[in-house]
Amino acid sequence: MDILQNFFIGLAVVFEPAKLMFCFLGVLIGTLVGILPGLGPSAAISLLLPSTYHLDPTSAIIMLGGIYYGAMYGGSTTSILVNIPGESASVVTCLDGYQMAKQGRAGAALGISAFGSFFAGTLSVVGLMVVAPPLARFALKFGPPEYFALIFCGLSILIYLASASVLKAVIMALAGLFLGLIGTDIVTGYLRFTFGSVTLMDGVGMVPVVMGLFGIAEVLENLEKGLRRDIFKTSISQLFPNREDWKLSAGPMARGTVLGFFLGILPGGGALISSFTSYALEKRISRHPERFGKGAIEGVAGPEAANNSATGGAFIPLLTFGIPANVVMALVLGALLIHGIQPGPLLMRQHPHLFWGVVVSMYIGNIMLLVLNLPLIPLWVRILKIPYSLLFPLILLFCLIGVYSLNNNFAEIIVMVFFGVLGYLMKKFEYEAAPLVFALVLCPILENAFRQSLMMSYGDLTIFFTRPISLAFMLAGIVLFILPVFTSVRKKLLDRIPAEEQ
Amino acid sequence: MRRYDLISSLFFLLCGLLIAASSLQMPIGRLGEPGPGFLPLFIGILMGILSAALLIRSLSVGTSGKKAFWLDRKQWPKVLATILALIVYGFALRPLGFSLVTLFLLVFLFKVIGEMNWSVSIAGPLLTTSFFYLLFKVWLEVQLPVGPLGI
Repeated sequence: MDILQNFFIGLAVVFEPAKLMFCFLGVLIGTLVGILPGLGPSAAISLLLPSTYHLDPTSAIIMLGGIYYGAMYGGSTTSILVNIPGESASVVTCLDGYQMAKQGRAGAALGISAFGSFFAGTLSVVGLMVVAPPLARFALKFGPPEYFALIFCGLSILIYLASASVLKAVIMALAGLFLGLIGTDIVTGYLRFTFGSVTLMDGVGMVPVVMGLFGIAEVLENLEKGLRRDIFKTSISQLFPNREDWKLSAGPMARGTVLGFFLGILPGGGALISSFTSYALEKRISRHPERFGKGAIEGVAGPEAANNSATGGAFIPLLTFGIPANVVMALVLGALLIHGIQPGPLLMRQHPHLFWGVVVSMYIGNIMLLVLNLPLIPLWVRILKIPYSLLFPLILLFCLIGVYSLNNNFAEIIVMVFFGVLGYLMKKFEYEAAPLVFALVLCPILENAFRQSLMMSYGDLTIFFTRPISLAFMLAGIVLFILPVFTSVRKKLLDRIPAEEQ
Repeated sequence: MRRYDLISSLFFLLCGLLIAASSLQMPIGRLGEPGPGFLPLFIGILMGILSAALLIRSLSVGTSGKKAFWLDRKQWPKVLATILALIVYGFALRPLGFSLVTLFLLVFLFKVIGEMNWSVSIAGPLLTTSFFYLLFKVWLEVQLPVGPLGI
């Protein structure tokens, strides 16, 4: 009954007109950035982060969350219609979705991905409601060594998932940790690597880094390609999948939902990896694997369910442990910290209205998205036709103003441009940005946990291996470091990923 | 592609050494009470070791086909010009004010980089600048710098 009671707390929060409006705004922006290739949820959220200063924290998180799961809906539209993933988690949807569109079944593909997303998104919120409270109680047992081990494990998952090279991913994570160390040491007040810059005394901000690496770098790369997009010509009819489609999709949807939810919880996991895994799973257990890649509706239903389900799962580590599972959640963490709210095991108890309001808003948001996506598809198709030469100045301007307005400091613009150039070069040299950002965000928590653990144990490093929870995470992390040596499956799966975020 | 690994591994090797060297200037502390230099030293050393490994790997594996650095040779001046324009924007924002600098930047991006015709390159920036002004300054009340013209 506890859950039901909490659900009503949340309902009361969400049904204020202002909250509903921010939820709608979030899912609308989310759908939009999902549809536009080259602009993902992490760039969009970092752009809007400064404007959330003026909102109350609940509205802010409701809106940012809406952008995240909204982008999952929008991304599939672009994948199906233009064969370009609108954002990275929709890469696999291209495989069968576009084939369906070519066979004149774009409507059914769009329909099943919207319904699948809705089904999975809603169920994963139920999962979030059930799993989060006991997990938060469990998290109360965590001391510094457990936190250190958990972050170590998260970093190794992320490195394990790196598509290009494990070695390079570790180097990126180290670079991220280094960037996270820049600024004033919290324990001693000692200035580290600031080179006399006042801006750097506060540390390297996450927002300029994310906007540089994901926003600016992406624009620079597209400018170099001289992007010309193919204009879509097929007409869309009959958005409702037929009985046969439903029969084929029910299983993949259900499996995708479960898979996505649990992969979403893993730090470093998230929407991208769950959609890939779901596709691989469906292909393996299908009685007609030869249909995949030629317009099999299962290949759309499964991954689309999985990537939406992962968004619900991804909230869990942030809301219970205070540790973000991916870059988007790291930005949400940033938004919470701005308002002086420290997410963690106590969040649910100290801010029940925020917690349950956000959770319930995700139900409402999913309903809004279903309504937004199906009837408005012709509108989204028109947006796809906006030429890039009109779009990129706006993206750049949003980045510039967004970063400036953080602290009214022009030096942050320079920091952002620096990371834009760095991100652009990283693409050329085949380095991934995700481990860097993740490490940068978690560095302060990691260093604190590390130092406190060692103080607790008077310098004995075995403290990380003698406590059961910590030992489990450390072992899992170490196994993941050793595993890539034995497997190349990972690489085959991830070969097709474009450069946008995790 | 190995040539790129060679260059980047040298870069990170240098970074690792610099990080390690400069953290030696900080109080390192000891294992029982790590100081501010402890973790940076560890990170610097590890980065050095790993980039050395990458360096060795890039040298030992034969070159597998040459990949051009630029995706399209003709486009690189645009990339460079855009980067420079963003930097200039950053430095000019305070002295010249938001509206003026934004207008200039957008005209530049639309006309020179985006190769739109003049009517679009004038109307677009005017509309966009006013929209951003209203959105950020008026509605969201962000403190955007005011220039000599008072806007």
